[in-house]
Amino acid sequence: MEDAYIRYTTIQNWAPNIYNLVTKRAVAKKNSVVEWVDGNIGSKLTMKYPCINLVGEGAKGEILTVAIAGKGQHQDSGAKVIHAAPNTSSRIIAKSISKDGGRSTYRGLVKAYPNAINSKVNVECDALLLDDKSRTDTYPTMEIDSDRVTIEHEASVSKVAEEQVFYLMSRGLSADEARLLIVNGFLNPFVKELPMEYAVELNRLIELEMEGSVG
Amino acid sequence: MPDILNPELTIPEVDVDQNTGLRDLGSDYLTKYGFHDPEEYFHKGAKGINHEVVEMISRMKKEPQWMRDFRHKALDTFYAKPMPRWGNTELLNQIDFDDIYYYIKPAEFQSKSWDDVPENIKKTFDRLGVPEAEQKFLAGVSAQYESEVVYHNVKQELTDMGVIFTDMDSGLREHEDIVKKYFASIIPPEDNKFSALNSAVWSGGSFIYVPPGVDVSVPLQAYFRINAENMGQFERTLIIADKGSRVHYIEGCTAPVYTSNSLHSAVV
Repeated sequence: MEDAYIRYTTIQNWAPNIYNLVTKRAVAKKNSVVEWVDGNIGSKLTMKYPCINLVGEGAKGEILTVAIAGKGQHQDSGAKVIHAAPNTSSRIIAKSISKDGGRSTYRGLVKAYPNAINSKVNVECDALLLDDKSRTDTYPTMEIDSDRVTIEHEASVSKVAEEQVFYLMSRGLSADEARLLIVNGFLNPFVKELPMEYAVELNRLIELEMEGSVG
Repeated sequence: MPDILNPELTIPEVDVDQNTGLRDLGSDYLTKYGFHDPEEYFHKGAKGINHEVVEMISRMKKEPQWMRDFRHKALDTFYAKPMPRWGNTELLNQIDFDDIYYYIKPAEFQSKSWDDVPENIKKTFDRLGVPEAEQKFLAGVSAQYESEVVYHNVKQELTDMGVIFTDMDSGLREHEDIVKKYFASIIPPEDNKFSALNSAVWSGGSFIYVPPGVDVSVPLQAYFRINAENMGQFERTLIIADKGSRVHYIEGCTAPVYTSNSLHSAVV
């Protein structure tokens, strides 16, 4: 409804034999704000693309997703935003970490209808690969039917660089601790959006996930 | 107390007689099945999906006719829709829809106090730290085990402000007019194969309505857990934030490790 604010936070940590196939969608009316905060750690295959339809003037949408794909896992996640009114804005931040042969995919769609004048789109996808066996793919799609929309898109794929690990080890950290620190730094923008208890829990989960992952 | 956390426990299959058995099952469930007996205090239907299973779920929940019709129609849509041809099609095509339990009712009643939640389920949520988190920083908590919400509690202040936070099934019973207006209005069953499946067999999930101008400053939380092997959990969540209101909803999900696969397909 008008002027309303909804934030929906998910931390999914399913066992590695669960298919997690979820449809999530929100409609944002005039001057309202919808935020999806979505963390996918477990499951065998996740296919989930939270969606926001910005149908009211001045509506804002933000989708923040994190996926961690380990051995035998495929995290196919992303975001979908539809701009169907003037002065709407959206921000998508998608981060993924792949390790031990895990696979992560970002699949996103941003669509702007001709009436979405003065709208803003900001998409950022970052993927971190922890070893050579893992894989990451990015499939961003933008369908912009209005010439008065501002779009920013950034994507990056990085590997944990040996020199970063080496540098941290020279400061007295073990190789494990060094990697953990790099991963935590990478995820920080996501973790800080979580309520404190969840942030602590997520950090602990990542620590467990990272144990002995030195390749 | 039954050890329902033990996957080795053999649960007698409820005989799903396709013509007459179902009717008895739905109407006599409460009187026929006691709370304390290990084999009777929860219901586990047969594996697989068909119109009879959909009918059983709807009958056990004593749903209005429009919802029952909606479920049957959605099942037809599910049959008609192809699997997505994108994403990881190899893994998707490995899903055996006949090898999944679509509805498991873990306890007879939903509880407002953790003391009334069956001991073993309570232990699970204790181990997961849910009651502790509730005391510390949450305004309302809902805990779903397999298909049904077993625990639900909301702080009195919220109720006084007119906030509705309940499980989807109670939402349908107690606020049918709102549910009927908004249910599946954003994600119709025709959207995709899995939203159709969820529409046919949905159970549990959250229903939230925040009245105009109300700011729910503390988060509401739902916790979902799959316990049984080959279980399909299909929760359905609907959140309506009226003019100028604010709400933060958190969901968390876990399941133990088994060798066979389970399916979690929610619609939010």
